[in-house]
Amino acid sequence: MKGKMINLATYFVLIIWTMIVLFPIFWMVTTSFKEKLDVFLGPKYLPWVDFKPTVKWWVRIFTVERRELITPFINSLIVAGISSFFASLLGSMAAYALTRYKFRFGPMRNDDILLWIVSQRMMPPIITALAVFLMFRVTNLLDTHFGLILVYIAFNLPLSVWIMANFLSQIPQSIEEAALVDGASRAQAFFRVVVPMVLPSLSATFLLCFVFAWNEFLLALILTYSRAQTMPILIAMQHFQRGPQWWDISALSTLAVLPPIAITLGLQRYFIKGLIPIGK
Amino acid sequence: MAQWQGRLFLAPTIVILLLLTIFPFLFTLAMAFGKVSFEGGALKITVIGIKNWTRLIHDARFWNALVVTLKIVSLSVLCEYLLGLFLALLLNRRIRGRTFFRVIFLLPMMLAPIAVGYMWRMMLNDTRGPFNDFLRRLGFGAVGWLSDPNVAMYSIVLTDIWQWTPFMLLILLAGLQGIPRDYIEAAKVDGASGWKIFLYVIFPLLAPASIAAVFLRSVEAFKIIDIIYIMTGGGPGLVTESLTLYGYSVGLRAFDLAYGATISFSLFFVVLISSVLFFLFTRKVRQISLE
Amino acid sequence: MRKLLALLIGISILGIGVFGATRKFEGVVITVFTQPPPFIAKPVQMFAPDWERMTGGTVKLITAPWAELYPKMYSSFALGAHLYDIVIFPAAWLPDFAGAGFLAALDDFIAADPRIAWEDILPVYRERIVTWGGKVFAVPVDGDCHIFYYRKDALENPEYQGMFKEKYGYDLPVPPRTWKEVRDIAEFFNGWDWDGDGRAEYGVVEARRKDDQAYWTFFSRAAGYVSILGQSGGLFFDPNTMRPLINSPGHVKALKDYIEIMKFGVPGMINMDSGEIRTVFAAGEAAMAIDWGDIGVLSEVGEESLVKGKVGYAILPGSTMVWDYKKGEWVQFDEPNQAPYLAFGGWVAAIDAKSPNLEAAYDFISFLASPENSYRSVTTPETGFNPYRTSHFERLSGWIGFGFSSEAAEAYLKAIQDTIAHPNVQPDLRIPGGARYFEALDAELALAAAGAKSPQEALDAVAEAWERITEELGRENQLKAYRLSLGLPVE
Repeated sequence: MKGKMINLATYFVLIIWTMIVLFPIFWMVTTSFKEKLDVFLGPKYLPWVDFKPTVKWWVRIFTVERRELITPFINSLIVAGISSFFASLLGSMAAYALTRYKFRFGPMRNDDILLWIVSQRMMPPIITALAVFLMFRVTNLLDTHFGLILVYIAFNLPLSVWIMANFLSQIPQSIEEAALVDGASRAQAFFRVVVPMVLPSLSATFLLCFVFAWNEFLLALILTYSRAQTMPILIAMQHFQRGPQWWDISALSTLAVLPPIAITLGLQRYFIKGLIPIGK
Repeated sequence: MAQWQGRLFLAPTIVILLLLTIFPFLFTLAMAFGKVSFEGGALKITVIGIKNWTRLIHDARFWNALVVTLKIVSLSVLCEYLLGLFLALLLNRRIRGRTFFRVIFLLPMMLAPIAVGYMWRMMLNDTRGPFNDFLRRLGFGAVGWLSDPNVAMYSIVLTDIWQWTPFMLLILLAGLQGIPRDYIEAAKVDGASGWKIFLYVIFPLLAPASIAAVFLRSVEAFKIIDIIYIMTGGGPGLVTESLTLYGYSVGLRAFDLAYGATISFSLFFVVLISSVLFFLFTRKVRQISLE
Repeated sequence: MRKLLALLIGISILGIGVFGATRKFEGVVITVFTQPPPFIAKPVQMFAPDWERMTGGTVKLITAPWAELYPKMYSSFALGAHLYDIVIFPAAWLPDFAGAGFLAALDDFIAADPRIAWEDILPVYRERIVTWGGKVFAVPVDGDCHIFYYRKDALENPEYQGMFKEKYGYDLPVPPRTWKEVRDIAEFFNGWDWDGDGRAEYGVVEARRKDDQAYWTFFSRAAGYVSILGQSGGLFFDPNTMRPLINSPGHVKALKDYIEIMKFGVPGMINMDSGEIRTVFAAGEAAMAIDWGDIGVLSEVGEESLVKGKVGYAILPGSTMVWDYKKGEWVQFDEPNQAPYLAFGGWVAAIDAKSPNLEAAYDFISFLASPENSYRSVTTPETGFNPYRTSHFERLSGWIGFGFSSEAAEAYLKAIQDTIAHPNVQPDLRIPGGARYFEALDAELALAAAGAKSPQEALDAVAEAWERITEELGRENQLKAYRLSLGLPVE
């Protein structure tokens, strides 16, 4: 009986939060189906009830403006996908090293190295971006996928190292040692034993890296100008002399949120695997 | 044990970070202590000492931006942590539809901050926004969500909470799932109440994840700009002007690179000091967790 | 034999025609950088195909959001990347770019080019706005100035006029000629449903948002208070000493007005940029507005407009009390002193001095700005271009084809022409570091608008900041640049 009450209360809270989360998204999606006047004389809530929905903004995006849309969309996929893959892989390798070996570089020990790595994320991107612009000009990396991927790996490494170090430190070393005794190399132990155990946190890390890279604005803005432009910049371009084009911004934002959702759904089963108690 | 293997694992990260951060760091440092000019169309930095820094200390707008930033960071990170923890605990229960809720709850984080800024700016509009429409229907007066100097900052915080609570949720949930169920079962067998299990078993075991989540979120929050830039541009007055936004206005809009770099650097110091303090405070907890 | 020769000649002529061997810029690719289409970039898209067919060159359009144009252009020039051949940007940035040697001088090109019809461009644009240190560095492609908008159905309604007179004791002036009158009219029309649509309307809508275009609205209000015909300077600096005049009693009075009128504005106006006020005015929410030519176009032809045919146009109001900075006192005028303001100065097209394709780039600009093509640009929806040539004002047909009624077209063009041709017209601030002066002003205006500082305190702080910027950039240079920009002799 008590359990049921708790369950009910849980659902109640979860549903309330669901509504809080969904309302702005509902607003975004419906706005992409509104006529200009329905936006300006709003608020209008329900399609067919207090406004007549139109698909004209969507049609325009996929017809007249298709060329402007496809390139940034694919760029974003390439850049975010590749960079977050490497950021989480290299990051967990570094985290593994930091939790399994004792390092000494001058006065720096493991903790200090970790702090140094994380502190790279503290640098405000604005001025840094200009310096990177300068570097990229010299190395011809401006407006290239490779350049942006490199920057995003660096941008996400502190995050992935830090998260993975925290999780790896929780995993009892006895398990890998057992594998090592069985004759596996460290690399084998890492990829065959450790990685499967931390898959939930690894997939969370990948997701975070992806989301950050997918949505990053300032660096993409300064380091690209045409070929390698990404989605957030396309969205920002919908703010014209005649004010923000709410309908276009909404449609593009709706479109842009789909890949991260797909990835979350894809990674779902790994999240669930995490429910199996570690160490068993 | 073969030390070189460890170094090999660590090396790519260190190399990439060094490659992409050392030069920007030095470049920014030189600008913060220098003067930038363009001679014959080329950029030139002359080091002039601490002049930019004395200007910074006497700059009321800088202090305002610092206070605004600290307020936004502390308020939003605190709320996000509490909410994220609460939701993570609920979602960690074995209930039907857990997967559904998880995906839904992560949604806000997946939107570009720029998009989030525009959505909320639309919703918080004085005359056309649903928020004021709700209030009107309920018989309350309209609130100047983004136009009232006493309210605007909280609207920014609200938006930030909406977008980034999922981040806390994600990390804390992963942390919760790493806690062996035996511990909790054992505590139950000992007759501990739910609250006591949380306080004495779950919370301490969750400490590493909590620290990671709070730390990373704070570092990001210190750099807040996108949402503010879209929603208020730092106004009304300067009540929502964060340090990054100020640095951006000075550095890239007015192209006063030297002073913009100084502001950026000051933010770097603020984050660094806060981090060191945070690390000192949590040292004990972290050491236990490294056992 | 002669037949054969003729045949050969014939073939070769044909060959030239078919294969285009004489096309001027075969294979040349020029990059054009500006803000994203439709506004400003649309004419480039409209005319690029024709130009490409004629010359064999290729035009590549690159764009960035408005707020990022300046940083991106500056970094492309200053950090040596030279990413763009042609840049189309607001005239106010020209001193920064030309002063630093980033742009190519165009005088020789223009002198040898009949197509551009240079003399047809209004003098204020061709002589002041695109020149720097006596040379031409850009070609105007857009004319920009602030004008005053009002709702005829409100201000000209006899019933309301009667009510107004009863309340304020004088006839409702249409259009208002002083800011005092604007204030009263705004108060009168604020907060009630005067157009019968079931929603309350408001007095004014003006841009106030921080980090946007609010300071231009401020100068539009200040000009009438501080700029006296025949007296140079006054709006920004003392042209003899470079002392900032921004905290003069005239400017303080303008800022007081600027703040007071917000009480009679659309709710949330403090957070609105120029783009947003246009949509608000076109949706019929306000009785008056200050803006560039855009409100006119949006109101008369925009699909979302609810005010078609209901808009009146005028030059910016002024004041009968004017601050004379030379005498250091207020001067009383019988007729209101009006000083229209060329805020922003319009978009101009220039060429990177290091561009390898100078000739092709100039050729495209000249094609874009020729009288015929520019007329099409300024009379096509969503180009964001406003008239800047004498010939643009002479033919109404394009405007009517555009969706204006002939009456509206006439009134709209008259307001713009009256502004540009006004004897007391004030160009925008055009000196190196202009963005820094404006940025400092913008923050203090925001503080004053939010009530965090008094107008006097705010403008005193601006004056102090401006002095510091002038010191940093070199007073001598800045003074020289300011005098040049006003057309005053430089020793």
